[in-house]
Amino acid sequence: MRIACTRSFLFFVFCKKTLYRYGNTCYNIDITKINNARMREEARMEEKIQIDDGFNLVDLIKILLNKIKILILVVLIGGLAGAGFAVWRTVDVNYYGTTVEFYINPESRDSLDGTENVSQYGIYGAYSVPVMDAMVRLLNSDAFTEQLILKGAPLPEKGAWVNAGNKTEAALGLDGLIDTAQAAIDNATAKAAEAAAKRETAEEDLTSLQQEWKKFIVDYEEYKNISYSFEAYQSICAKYPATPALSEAYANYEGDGEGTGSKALSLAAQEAAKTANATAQTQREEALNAWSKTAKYKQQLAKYSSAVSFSYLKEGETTTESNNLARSFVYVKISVLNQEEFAKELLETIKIVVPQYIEERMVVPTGYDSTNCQRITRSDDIAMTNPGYTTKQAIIYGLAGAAFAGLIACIIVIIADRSNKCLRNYEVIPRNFNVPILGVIPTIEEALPADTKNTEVKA
Amino acid sequence: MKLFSRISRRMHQKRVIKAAEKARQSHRRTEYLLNDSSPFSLTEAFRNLKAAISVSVPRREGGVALMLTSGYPEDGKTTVAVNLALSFALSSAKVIVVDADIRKGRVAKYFNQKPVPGLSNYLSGQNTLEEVVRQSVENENLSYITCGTHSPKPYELLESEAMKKLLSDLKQTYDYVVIDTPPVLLVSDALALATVTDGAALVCRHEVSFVSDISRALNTLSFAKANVLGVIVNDYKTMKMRDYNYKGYKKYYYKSDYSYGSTDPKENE
Repeated sequence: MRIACTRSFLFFVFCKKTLYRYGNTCYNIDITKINNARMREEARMEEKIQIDDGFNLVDLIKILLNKIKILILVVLIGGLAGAGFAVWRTVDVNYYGTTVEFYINPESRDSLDGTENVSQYGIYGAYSVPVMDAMVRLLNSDAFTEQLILKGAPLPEKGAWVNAGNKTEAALGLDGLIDTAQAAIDNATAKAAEAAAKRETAEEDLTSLQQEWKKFIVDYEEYKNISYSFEAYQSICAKYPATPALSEAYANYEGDGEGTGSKALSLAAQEAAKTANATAQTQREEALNAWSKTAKYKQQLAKYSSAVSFSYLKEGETTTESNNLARSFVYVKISVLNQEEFAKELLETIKIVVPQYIEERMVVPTGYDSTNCQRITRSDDIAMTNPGYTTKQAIIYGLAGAAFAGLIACIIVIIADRSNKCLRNYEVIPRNFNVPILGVIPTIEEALPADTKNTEVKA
Repeated sequence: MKLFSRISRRMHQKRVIKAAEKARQSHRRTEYLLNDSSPFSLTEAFRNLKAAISVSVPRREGGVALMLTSGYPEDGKTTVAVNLALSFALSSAKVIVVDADIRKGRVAKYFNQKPVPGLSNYLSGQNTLEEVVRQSVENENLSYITCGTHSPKPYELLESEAMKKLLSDLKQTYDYVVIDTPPVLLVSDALALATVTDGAALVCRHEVSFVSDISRALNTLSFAKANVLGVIVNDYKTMKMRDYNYKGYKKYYYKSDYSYGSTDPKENE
């Protein structure tokens, strides 16, 4: 009995728990199923609406036309912003420059009569393309640009490098030049001048000495005829002081005749000047080497390089063809931003340096002796090369700004409209929800009269 | 894209509500009623609606109780309800409009009358049926019951036996009983009448109501066992360009705790 009751009780407990668990499970499954079904149904509807919501070009145009006022406003603002930006950027942008033309032709010296005549090579012949390419490349190189910076001077004039620190960079034209060689250069230059001066005075001294010598010889011969006297010899020598020039004149007189002493003096002066020039040249090279390593040198180089460019006409590309007069002309284009004075200085420098440089380095064809380079443009004054630049840039940037702003605005308008999932086509309802459209009521507000005062009855 | 869509949706709703409020402020409600000067397209649209409803509602003895609701406010359900009732009245049918939107009823404004006494007063026993039923001056076949005094328990009033008895009594007297109910996605008042009416029509506004909201509203009515007759598309724009009024914004949230209507009776007027 007790066992039966216990079993019954246990069975009852088991059933209760099982039923409770089953009931809860059923309850949870039912609610979950309902919620899931509802959510799935809504998701399916949403997906179907998105798929069926078509989009074509006509809709696109309608969307844009709806917001046409905003689009026009945005385009105008974009255009004004672009034009304003262009004006701000280019209001102070003025390019000054010109084009200088040089004619190059080889020269030959007529050997028969010794006269010099200009060859007709420039008319019936021309330089080959490789030669012109090499020359133009040389002119566009840093080496020539450095010549422009230094204005082509082989040696600096005395005093040009003196007090470099007190001169402005523009006047000096040599930014950051190291003037450690200044003293040596001045010294050498001074010695060369002294030597040249001494050469003149030495000739005068020698002339007077020669006259005195002649008198001495007359007196000495007269002494020899009278008697030998050391004291007399000393008294004669005392009348003529033993200067170095006289000593040297004595030393050279005996064997080489008159004028030898002055020649020696002039040779010595020339040697001294030559040494001084060499020293000055060496010092200058050292100074230039040191200067080229500085940042300011690179800035100067970039400034001059960007301001000037060289070219020639390349008509007739065949290297063997020589009958092309166009290849005898070199064009120098100057273009400087906002620095009119610098452009003018550069023009004057080019007029001097370019012909010298070309004449020194141009290839001389066989049968010719030298090169002649002359400027053939007369009206090559510096002028503004970009008149109306600001206006053009403003138009370009304005149009670009307007187009960009309009494009962005169109994209935003389209995205905003497409992201607006309101009811547009009412046929979506019966198609998606299986519910009929009972009626379509047009807008009432448009049918109402003009604004009237609201006099509704209030409690 | 979803975030952009939500932002766009919220801004769109605010703009439209602002435009609707401005339109209401500039026009009297009575001007929204159909009259001789109404455009042909408008009157014909309501005639078609009337015809569609006539064939959609199952034929029974007595009148037909028709419930009009929408997803959210400002969809034009009150205007459609009143004009639909007027259309029925113009075809010599006896119609009564019942403003079941006790929280924020607007039917009284269409007839330029005070809302009190009304439905809530009758359901709470304060007034008799004869006191709350009013005759329209626009058409002798049209009567109406306003919303009445604001009540803290509108759902209970609409679910009460008094309401069911009222409907059965009205169906005995009138051919059509058009009931204007609150938005179904904001409050549950409309669901109380879902099973006691012969049919329910969902009013949505063209280019205002979102398709997802329409879907949710239909599902809600279906789950409430309402006999959904169909959807009425209101404020349908024609092909010409539309110009929304974007002046300013006013906060008008569609939150779950949105207080549709107010405890202050004066605010409902």
